[in-house]
Amino acid sequence: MMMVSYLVTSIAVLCLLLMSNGSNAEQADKLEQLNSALWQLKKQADYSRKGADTCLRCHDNSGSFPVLDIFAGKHGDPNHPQSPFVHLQCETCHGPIGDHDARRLAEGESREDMFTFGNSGNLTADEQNQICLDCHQQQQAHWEFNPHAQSNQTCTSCHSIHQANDRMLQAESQAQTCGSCHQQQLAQTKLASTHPIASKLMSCNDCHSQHQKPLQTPTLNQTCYQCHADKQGPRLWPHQPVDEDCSTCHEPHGSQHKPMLTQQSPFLCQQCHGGVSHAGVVADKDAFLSNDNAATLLFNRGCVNCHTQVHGSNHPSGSGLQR
Amino acid sequence: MRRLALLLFCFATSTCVEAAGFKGDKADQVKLERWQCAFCPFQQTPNSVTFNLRHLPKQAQQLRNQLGQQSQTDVGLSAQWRKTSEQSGQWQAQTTQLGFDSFSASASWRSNGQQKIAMSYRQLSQNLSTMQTSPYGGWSSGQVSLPDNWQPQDQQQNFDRSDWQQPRLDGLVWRQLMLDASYPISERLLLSLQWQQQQREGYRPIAVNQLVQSTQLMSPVDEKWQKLALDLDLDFTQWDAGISYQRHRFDNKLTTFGYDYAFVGFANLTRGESALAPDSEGNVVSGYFSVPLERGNFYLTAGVSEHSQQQTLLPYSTNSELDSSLPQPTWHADTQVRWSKLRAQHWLNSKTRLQFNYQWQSQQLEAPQVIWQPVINDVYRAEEQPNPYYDRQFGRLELLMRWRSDSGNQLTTGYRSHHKYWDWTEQSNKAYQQDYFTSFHGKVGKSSRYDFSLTHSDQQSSSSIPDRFSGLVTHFYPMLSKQSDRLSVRLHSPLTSRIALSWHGFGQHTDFDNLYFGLESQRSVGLGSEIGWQLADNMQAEGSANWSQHRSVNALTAPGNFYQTDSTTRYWRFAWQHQDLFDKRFDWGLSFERNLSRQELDIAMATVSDSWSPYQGSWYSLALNSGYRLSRKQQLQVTLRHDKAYHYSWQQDLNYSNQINDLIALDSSNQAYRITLLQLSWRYQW
Repeated sequence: MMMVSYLVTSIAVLCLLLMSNGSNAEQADKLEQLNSALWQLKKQADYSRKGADTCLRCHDNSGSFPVLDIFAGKHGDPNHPQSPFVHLQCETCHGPIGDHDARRLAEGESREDMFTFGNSGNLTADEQNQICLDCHQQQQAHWEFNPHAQSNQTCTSCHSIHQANDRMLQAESQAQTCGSCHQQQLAQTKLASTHPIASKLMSCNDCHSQHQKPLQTPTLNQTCYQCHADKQGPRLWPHQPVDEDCSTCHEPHGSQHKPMLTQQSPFLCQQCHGGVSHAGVVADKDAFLSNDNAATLLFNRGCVNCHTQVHGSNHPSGSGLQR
Repeated sequence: MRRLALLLFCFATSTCVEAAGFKGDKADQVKLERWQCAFCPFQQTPNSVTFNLRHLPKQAQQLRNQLGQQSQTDVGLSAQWRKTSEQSGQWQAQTTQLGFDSFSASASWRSNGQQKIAMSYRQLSQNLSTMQTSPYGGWSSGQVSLPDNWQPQDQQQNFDRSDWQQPRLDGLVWRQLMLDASYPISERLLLSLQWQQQQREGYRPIAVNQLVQSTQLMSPVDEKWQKLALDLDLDFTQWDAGISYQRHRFDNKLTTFGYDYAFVGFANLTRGESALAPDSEGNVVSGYFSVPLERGNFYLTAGVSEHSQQQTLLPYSTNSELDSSLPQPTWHADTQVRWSKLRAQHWLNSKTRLQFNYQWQSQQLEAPQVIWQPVINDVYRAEEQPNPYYDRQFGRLELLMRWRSDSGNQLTTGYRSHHKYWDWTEQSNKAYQQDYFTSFHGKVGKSSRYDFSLTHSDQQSSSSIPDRFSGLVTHFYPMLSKQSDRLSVRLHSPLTSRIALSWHGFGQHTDFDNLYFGLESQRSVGLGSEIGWQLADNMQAEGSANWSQHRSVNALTAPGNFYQTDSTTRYWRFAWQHQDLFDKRFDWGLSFERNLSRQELDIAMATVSDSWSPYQGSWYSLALNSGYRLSRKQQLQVTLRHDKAYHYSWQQDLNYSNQINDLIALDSSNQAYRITLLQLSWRYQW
């Protein structure tokens, strides 16, 4: 396996060196191909004479899309060196004004478009995101591999620019924002056994990295160990699925089964321990168990009533994970 | 070599590109000095302080997931404070829920978005149920005990619960303190430092066993975890890279947990002892490298972590007749995990791209292999056996192609293979899984869209695990060979400009290659629907309904003799929200939410069948909030919220003392809660 790994890595690095050209000419060509007609139009357009003062003659908080709250956030901060308002103001993102502010329009004629953002924006997702990523370069390096990028999400699908508080940067609203698409996960946070997400004591990006890789750490288990350090081991008597993948048994977004188990005990355990000994004898209490009573291995915490150290034991007598 | 030289040249000569957004060809002609922005209503983030006086019954502890507020007193006072300044850079400080059980505070200072120092602290309580009682005492000592007058119960007798007591209710408290700083050494080089400490203190429910008799207890928790991370990020136009070092340490003040046996036991055997997680420490070094290619990009990350622990071992047994000397008094172990991930993407044309992902991970356990003679349940001495000594490797390779049309339709198809490999020194175990998958994301009209995905998986495993591992866990943990198919469909369509409807469904079937006992097959199907309705500009409603069924078939005693388990889950949710402005000073809102879930379990065997009591969960919340602006700087707010929850499950902590032998459970016979929160808030802003 290790040899295969080194081989694959070596081939990939070799391909990288052969394909890299040290400049971004081809990358730029690719972006040019993606550019829409509006993008090309704005590329040539004139900028306004007075910047934001030109825009604010018409755009204020009275329309269907109030804009003035941008001045309560970072993007409207004139003291921040990377703020659009230190550069080309509104036209930094919405493109040069061109004929958009034409005083008189003939009947049936519509005003020239400016760039608009979001799912109903008039640019492609790649074009919209390119404008944001031009400043937010730290996110650029990994964005194109991100599932969000690959499903045509735009930055403004999640982020709110013309608001004082970006909904993605507030723990109170982040789960709701993510949950507008990830509805199943949002619903799970309201089940009987969950992380404290619904109560705003945790947020999605405590575990997930929205711009880069799916998780904050390279592996799922390492993400869990960030808080559950006592589960890391090594153990004198390990339980193999624990070292492999926490999600084998746990559903981190929430479950009906405490503590966030993917299936109730003993059925969860039986997916591996299904064939022998008492673990396989589940089922009908009247048929198998005396006194019309069920046994500890079926009820309550099921198998864990006895195999308490299910994450692995450090006891010399803990080979059965019982102590 | 030439390419490498070019890369190094780029590293040395790259200059900073000023942030610009979209830059038209005529951007350089703009005379920014004339753009006065005279009408821009620049604002400074307001400072504010809020005081909350609230009445909340103790029962709210059991609704913490829904309420987000926990309390051990009926009446409480809390405060929130937020302060921002732009003098000497920007700084901000904030506290929330000061005075309630859960508390958080943060402060940060930034200089032009570059240098940053931040501190945050938060506290989270996992309170226990007020309904739980137990005969045990001495919770804080790590050695819980039964009262002197306790008569060990025979399993044929009922328990006398008249003198059982309520354990402490403050449960487990998590505290997290984090310090974060970043400093740009140059325009291209960013140095970040993070220190984090988590502390957990309190009690955690645990079960302990004595033969087949089991008792639920509260295990004391007093542990601390610290992490120090140092990151160095290089950001260039042609590529970027980073290297990270982490050191973490876990300290557990309690490494053992002792308890009295509640039942009649072996002669003179009255106590048991479990081992908890020992102290440990680790180091992680990782790095990444990302570069754009001619028609794509490339990303590589790799790292290595090592983790070690040293522990003092407990005796084999509390039963002196079965205890014997340990082969060694301590056990030292190291694990080393190495991983690499490689991703490359290549555009064939503007619509089609290929993606290649490869992930590899290896874990090596470096610990002395010792022949142990463990004792099972303080009665039986087990056969001699060595502790497992194994190395594990995992690899995943993924090739996929994505095609996207001009109209936004997207087709993804690919192949994925997983390899798992365990080296048991004398033998090895392998599992190999192949997935074929395809998905289509389509658009109908302007706003309707649908998703379709189909996956076929085939896992083959060598089932041989060395017989010498006679421990229950290692002996009975085969990776079953199996074949699985999964189909899922999702349709989202706005019926009108105010109503959006989505439907989804899935089906999955798995066949296990199980020649004798155990799991034969699993089948899952599910359907669901969500609706969102913007009833008016200030009123919205949401609803969802889900149904799923899971069936597993096990071979019971011989091939052809099966038992079948059907688990059916239904889930409904409805939420309604209204917010209105009565006049310029007075606003009010009303919201309602209700969740219902039900799970049924049916078991069928060759001759008999049985249905178990269904699991049911219900929660509803009705909230009224109203705000009144006293002046430009002051605001009053009143919140009245009523919540009711009901949970029943045969798996949860019910009162089994008269229903089931062999088990002492923490009593929680009533899982229905009804609470009302009243909160009065005053906010001052300047």
